[in-house]
Amino acid sequence: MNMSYPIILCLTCLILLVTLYLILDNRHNTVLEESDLIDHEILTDPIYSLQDKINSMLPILIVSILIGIVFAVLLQEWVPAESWIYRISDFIIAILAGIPSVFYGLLCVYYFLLKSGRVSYLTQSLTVVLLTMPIAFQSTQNAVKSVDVSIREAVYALGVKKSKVITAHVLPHAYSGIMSGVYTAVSRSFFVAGLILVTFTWTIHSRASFSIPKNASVFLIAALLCSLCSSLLKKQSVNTDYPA
Amino acid sequence: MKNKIEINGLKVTYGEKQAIKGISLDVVENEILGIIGPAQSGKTTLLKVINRTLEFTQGTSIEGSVMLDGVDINAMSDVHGLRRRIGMVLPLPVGLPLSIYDNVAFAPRTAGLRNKAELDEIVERCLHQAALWDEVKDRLDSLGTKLSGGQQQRLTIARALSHQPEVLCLDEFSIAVDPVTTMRIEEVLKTLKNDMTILLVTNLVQQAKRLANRTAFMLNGDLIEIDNTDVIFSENPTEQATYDYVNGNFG
Repeated sequence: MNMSYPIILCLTCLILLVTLYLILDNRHNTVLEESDLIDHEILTDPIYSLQDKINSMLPILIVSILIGIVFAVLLQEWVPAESWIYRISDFIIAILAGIPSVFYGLLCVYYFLLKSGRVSYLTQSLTVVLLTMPIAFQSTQNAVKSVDVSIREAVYALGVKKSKVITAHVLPHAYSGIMSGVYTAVSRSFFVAGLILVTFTWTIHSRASFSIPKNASVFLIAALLCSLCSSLLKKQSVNTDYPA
Repeated sequence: MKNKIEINGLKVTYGEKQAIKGISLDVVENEILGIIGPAQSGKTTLLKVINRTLEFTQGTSIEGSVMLDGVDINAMSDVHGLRRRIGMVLPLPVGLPLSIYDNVAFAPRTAGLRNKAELDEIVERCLHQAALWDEVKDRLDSLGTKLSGGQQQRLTIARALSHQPEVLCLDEFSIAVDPVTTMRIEEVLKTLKNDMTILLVTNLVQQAKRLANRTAFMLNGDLIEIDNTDVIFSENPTEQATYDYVNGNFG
């Protein structure tokens, strides 16, 4: 497993680089007009649109974070760490969580807003889920993992059922870790929403073309690589077994 | 005398390493069985096999049989019921971050007991038995983890007693307890053995001599000798290794 990580890391980076090249290629070099946007109240009536966005996205945000937490607890407590389902979910989540949030925002903008002129409900939801779910998952997983083994053993020795051990002791111990993940996830989605609004307002008011300059893309790629490496290496060190 | 626990040909391996290499021993009802031996001799593993908490350690395999009252514990479907019959005290106190009262009342509550008066009675009885009642009776609502190390260890003993176990396993309970408290707990154990069978794993050879009816000496996963305590601590136990260990020549 230790040997396979660098190889998988290289492959993933390669795939992402190709994807990035396709995105950053200046084919969308058109000047954006306000009339191009069907959702133009985003810009004209910020308060209305903000409330609208929050009303429509808040349920998705909450559900997505909850799914992340529940999935992490189930996977960590009931699925053995050697099974393929654990490894694959663990790996995919590590990749998703390792991608800087700005990329999700850019993907959303390029592939959906610029091509169809509006952001569909599905696209927005998908972006919110991709932004928040992996973070909620990872912090829950780490928090649950870090609960001291001796506490579990002591409670199990009292003849307590597994579900009760988890709800009465493991989760309360992991509470602060889980909540910190929730706040990080929420901040990530708000950050991207704010970033997109700022960029778009500026682009449209200045009648500039919406494209990413080549020198900016260098920074973005560097950020992506570093962030992915950080995420995957963190997994590798956590995955080592307890000494016998 | 009835045998409470019968262990036959027990072998435990952690991956490649053999922790217990095929031991057989009986524990008689209402006795204190002292288990002595240097580190890595399989004492703690033996206790974990008996209450089946070894199942949480990955990569272990268990051979042989352990019978509790004539029933194979590995064949028992209700593992939680089994663990309620066996109290366990770990070397370092694990205070659950609950109040002192809730620490003791936790196990009976999970087993379904809701009656406040009964719970009060259980908490008071267990804290008395663990020689802790007088020190904490005025602050049962304060956090169990705020107690001193020795008090926390007595709290874990009270917790282990809360579901009235038939067997009490003590795994080097006196590591974190001062000598005076150790003596008080030892007095308690002498009374407790009227109600239950006690397995006392200890690094303090003299503690086994003071308390145990019979003593087992384990070394590197083997059971070297098991006999009445006065034989083990006499000038001529059966095995030379026992004599050497008990008299401090090694270990």
